[in-house]
Amino acid sequence: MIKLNRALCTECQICMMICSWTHFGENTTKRSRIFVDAEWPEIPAIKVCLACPNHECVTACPNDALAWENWIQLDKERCDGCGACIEACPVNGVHMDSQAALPLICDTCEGQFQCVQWCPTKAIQIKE
Amino acid sequence: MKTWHGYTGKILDVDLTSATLSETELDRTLAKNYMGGKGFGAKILYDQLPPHCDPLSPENILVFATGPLTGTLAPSSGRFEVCTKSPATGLWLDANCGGFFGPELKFAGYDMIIVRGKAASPVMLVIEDNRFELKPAGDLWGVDTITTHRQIKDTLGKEFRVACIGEAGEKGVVFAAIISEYRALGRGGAGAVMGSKNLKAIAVRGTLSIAIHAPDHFMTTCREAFNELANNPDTGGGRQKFGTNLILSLMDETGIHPVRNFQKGQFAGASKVNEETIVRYYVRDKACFGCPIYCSKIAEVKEGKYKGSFTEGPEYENVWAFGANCENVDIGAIIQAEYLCDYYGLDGITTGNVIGFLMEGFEKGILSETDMGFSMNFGNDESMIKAVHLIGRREGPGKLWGQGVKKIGEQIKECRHFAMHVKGLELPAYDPRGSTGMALAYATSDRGGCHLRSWPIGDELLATEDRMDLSSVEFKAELVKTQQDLFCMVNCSGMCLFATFAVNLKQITPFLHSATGIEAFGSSDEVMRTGERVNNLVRLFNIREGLTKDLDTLPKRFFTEPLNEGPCRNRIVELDQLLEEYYLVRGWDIDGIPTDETLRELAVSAPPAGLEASGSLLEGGENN
Repeated sequence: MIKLNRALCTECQICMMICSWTHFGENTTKRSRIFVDAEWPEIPAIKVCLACPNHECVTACPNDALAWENWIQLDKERCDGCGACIEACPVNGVHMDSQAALPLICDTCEGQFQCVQWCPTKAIQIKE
Repeated sequence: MKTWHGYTGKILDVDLTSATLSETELDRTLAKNYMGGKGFGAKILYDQLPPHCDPLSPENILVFATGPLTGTLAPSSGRFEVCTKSPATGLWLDANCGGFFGPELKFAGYDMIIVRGKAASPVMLVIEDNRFELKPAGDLWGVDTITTHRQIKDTLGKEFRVACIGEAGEKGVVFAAIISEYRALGRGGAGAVMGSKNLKAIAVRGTLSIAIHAPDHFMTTCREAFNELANNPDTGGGRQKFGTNLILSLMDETGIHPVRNFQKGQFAGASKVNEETIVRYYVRDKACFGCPIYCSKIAEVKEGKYKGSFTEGPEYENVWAFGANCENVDIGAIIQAEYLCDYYGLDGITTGNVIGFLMEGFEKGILSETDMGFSMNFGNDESMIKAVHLIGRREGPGKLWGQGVKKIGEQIKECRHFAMHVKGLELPAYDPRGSTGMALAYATSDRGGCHLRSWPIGDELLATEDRMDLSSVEFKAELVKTQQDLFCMVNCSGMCLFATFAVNLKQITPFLHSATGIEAFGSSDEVMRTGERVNNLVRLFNIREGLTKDLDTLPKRFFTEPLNEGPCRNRIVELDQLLEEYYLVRGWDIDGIPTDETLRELAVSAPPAGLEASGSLLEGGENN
């Protein structure tokens, strides 16, 4: 999974761009599973699923739409977009996709970790 | 209808006088011929701005324009332009800014905002996903830009991106900047134009995507460009570590780092204010949208009398303007001055110039303590900070100072010969006596004293191969012309000029082509021709506004007072031959007017009826 060194984050949002691109083929930052939250001039917060051991989003989901298998898996058929997972996430790592009204949760690009590959400063790394 | 790629295809047209907002379609011919950014602004102002209008009257037009690459994954493509008629020069102005506003505008569905007229009372423009409205902003009037950003984000949501003015813009300081996400559309007074329209701020948020014409080709180009940037010793090394300050020592050692309002070319305090000392103030790296160079820094003063001051920067030009130019060696004061420029919404280069100019006037006994309210010797950091406050608030003597050195010189004639400006815009941090390239670059820059229309010093000092001689005039006209056209095109595209240190024209072209699908952008020659077309159109705009050959010149000091120390000792500027060659390679006549043949060759459009220039300037121009 992902580990973060937010002190190295420059706020460039390349991670958000490549995430949206990889999953939706769209040039935007707005459908990203990773989110750089900046409050100038402070060090930004990077909000993304850190694969916590308790999988609190899975427990919180009233529709059993989430499951853990290598990463959080979403069953789109079951999800009604209620946002309980967003509330439950202890690291604010779940975001709502405003286009599809479904939660966006990091799937590590199925092991490809595009954000890690593209981050210019190694603020995002793979947790071995 | 055909969908747009690279562009959103929509323009927001705002008439503040009647409070009418309308959405219009982007014209395909405009996109093809003028690309975006500066090109869009040039075409709109040339076609629509009443000649000789007062820049601070409701007649002036303020264009915020992105380029086809703005907001895309192409590296360093967070840039947007503001174009208007400058209150400082009375001529063309475009100012370019990074940050996040430009991309957000495209994610909200617009390539461009055209602002006309004047609101009856202070307003802000709010744009969100193809919806737009004007909101009263009386409560923000008089509020500094930093607080304005915070308040807007607190009220509307932190995802909103803001461009706003401070007190300086509201009060018509002719070098007031527009501040966007703590960066500046700095030069030439666009902030005063915005203030004259009673437009305090624009806030924008969007959730849309930008369609890409040929995604695979685009992504291959992206990967290559990101690699180039990472491997380049500037964009992947020095600039990341030192920010734009990486060349401070080099400029000083070369003897072209202006000191004491351009009286000297080497700074006695250079060992105290250089890239190695400034880097100690950096707290962290900061980038604009989509940029791997992260040349921006957050700097903080941890001790001394400016303890607690911070800024996003300090940037090379401001370090010079409030450092060497004022002979100040306190980096804390530089950081504080830069912060105040952002706070009030001022152009740092001009503010530092004005203060250096006042200091020279004071030391020469022309300006007295009675005139200024305090003594103003070179090196007096406290007076420097006081002066920034007075200019920002346009208070007391700051009323006059806020007019820039040209107009102060017109009022106080004894100071006139050391007013360091070109066409009314104060000069940046390279002494043209040491660099023939910069001399020509300044003299021919379309917005006045500026280093960002062309930057020949790069080829004279920094090039690793085919480096040109600093003092020779050979090929400088060709160099300046080529760079002006390239830089102009880059400012149309939405990419940052800094990316071009590593990513060359042959690599930018595939970005433009694969993003937009516009056939003309498939050829590097055509892409460069776009830059040249825009530059010629801007020249026509300037000529219509009264520009003559006589103004393509430099302050008298550079012709008559040689540098008296350092490697460029005894040098003065000799401009005549350079200018003559420049006009020739530009295809302009001996008076600097584009020939009909040049305009025809470049397919520069003829002006609409009623706005023609005098004479045969544009006969035969292709109308579109």
